[in-house]
Amino acid sequence: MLNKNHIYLLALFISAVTVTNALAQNEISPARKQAIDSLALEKVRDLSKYISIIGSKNTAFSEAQRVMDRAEELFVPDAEMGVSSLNRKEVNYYKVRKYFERLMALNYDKVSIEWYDIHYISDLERQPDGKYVGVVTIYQRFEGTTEDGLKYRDTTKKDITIYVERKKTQISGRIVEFWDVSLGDIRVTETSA
Amino acid sequence: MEAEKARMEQEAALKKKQEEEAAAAARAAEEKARLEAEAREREARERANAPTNKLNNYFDAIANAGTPASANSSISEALGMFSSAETPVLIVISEEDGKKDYDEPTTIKKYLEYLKDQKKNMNRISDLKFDSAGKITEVELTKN
Repeated sequence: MLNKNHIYLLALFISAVTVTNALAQNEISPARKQAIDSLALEKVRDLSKYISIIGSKNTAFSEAQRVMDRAEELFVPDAEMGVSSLNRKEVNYYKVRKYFERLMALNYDKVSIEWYDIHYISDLERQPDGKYVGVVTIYQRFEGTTEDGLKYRDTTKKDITIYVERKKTQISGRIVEFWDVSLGDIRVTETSA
Repeated sequence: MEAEKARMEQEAALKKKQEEEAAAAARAAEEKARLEAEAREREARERANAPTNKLNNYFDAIANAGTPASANSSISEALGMFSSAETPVLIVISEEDGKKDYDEPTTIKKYLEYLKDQKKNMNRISDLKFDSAGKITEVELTKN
């Protein structure tokens, strides 16, 4: 005969098995995790290239608009980009579209923007809601040259929050699951000459 | 006796010659059939791979184009291979136990523009689907 204690222990055991199974289903292998890590880093590199195209004075207006659309799609809605300068202390934050438009309109004759040393400072970690969140750091070298040859140069260290989420979509009548990588706010952490 | 022996030897030599000729003819026919089968297989393989190779050449041309105009021209030509500019493109980022992990699906127009912007062609074509008119209706790429 089962008494109250037996029933309680049985219920506890069933709950533990259920939770363990659920956790096991959500686990991903190191190889898959590595592929997701690489995918997220690639999105950051893609953004780097888009920023250099938008900033370049050789880019046609229509092309810059199209590239801004592509670059904006990399971000979560309302994400902000930090902008610093050696000439002021504070960091200004703009919505990414506004940042791209300001970048395109910079009052230089020639603009060169390069991102390098792109790496994780906080690995993608699974959150209770199932999303993965991590932080990638980049260094940005900016150089703007005016018509009369004056140059402004700085190097900025920036932290980018990365969100990765499993999503589903329908392709040709079938459901396809994919990893959706989105970039969050880009915060300035250091600015130097 | 001598004449009979000579006749028998002649007959045996003739028979041997005929057998050798028949074997050589069989070998020649066999070789011809093998070469024809190989040629048919090669043609079938080339026919099957032709769109993949052609598309891959466009990917390379767009990613390595010297000017935006040249890339745009290759993009226009490449789009002619597809049922629509909205043809879906799936990119496999990893595969384990037959289960594939994908990047966010995109369209062929956006993917070709991506190659132009990023100037890199790092995914290989792993599958193409076609409609009855021979136009591509779906692309699957795999990260190298």
